[in-house]
Amino acid sequence: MTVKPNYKVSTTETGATIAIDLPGVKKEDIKLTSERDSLKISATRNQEIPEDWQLINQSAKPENYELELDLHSDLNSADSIASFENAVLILKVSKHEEAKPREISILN
Amino acid sequence: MKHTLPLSLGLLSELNEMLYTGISAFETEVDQLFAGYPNSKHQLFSTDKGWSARVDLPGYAKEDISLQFEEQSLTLKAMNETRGLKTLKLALGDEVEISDISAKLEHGILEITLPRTETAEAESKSIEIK
Repeated sequence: MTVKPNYKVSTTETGATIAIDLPGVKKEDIKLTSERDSLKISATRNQEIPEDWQLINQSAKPENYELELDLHSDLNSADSIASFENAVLILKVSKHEEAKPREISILN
Repeated sequence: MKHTLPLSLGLLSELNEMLYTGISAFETEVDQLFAGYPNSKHQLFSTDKGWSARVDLPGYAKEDISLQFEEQSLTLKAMNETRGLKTLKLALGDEVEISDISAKLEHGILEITLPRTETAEAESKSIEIK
């Protein structure tokens, strides 16, 4: 059983930034793959509890994460950087060069 | 029970069950408080030494989080520019040893250790039948 993690997308002129919440996950347990038009993230959550612990109550059962994002054709999935801090995976995907805004110089 | 937070039906029946089996007042108070925050992911455990709570707090560093005890309640506050403010309040009964409460943040999960007071340790006693 997997669950979709919370995530937020913000865009700039040169690309998009995706922040994905992955609480309970270690960096080595994240699998990040990209295909031309999509990004796929799967992560397993550490579910260990000490022997003497007994669950009383939980708001939801902790599950592993899975997320697939379709990327706009302007975005170049091959040109992306990923970082992981405070249990948030941050993906920065750049636009294809042609899709980036360019200044056009005016001739006399 | 002084709190009147809205409870989902599922949680209400769980609480009824627990009241039936006579768990401590502290445990049911914690349940009710957590129930008021449907988006917070948390787990509450009883342990050999008392209780432990795990709260999901992705996006916050240690320095963004404060845990304070005041008026019989533990208030958790997580605040930073990117994620804003998240708060959670926990009413603690007499059974928690306040001075020994500790917390650690790992992999975006805050784990709060709530030791039971010594006087609250269940005493086993044999009762003579006359």
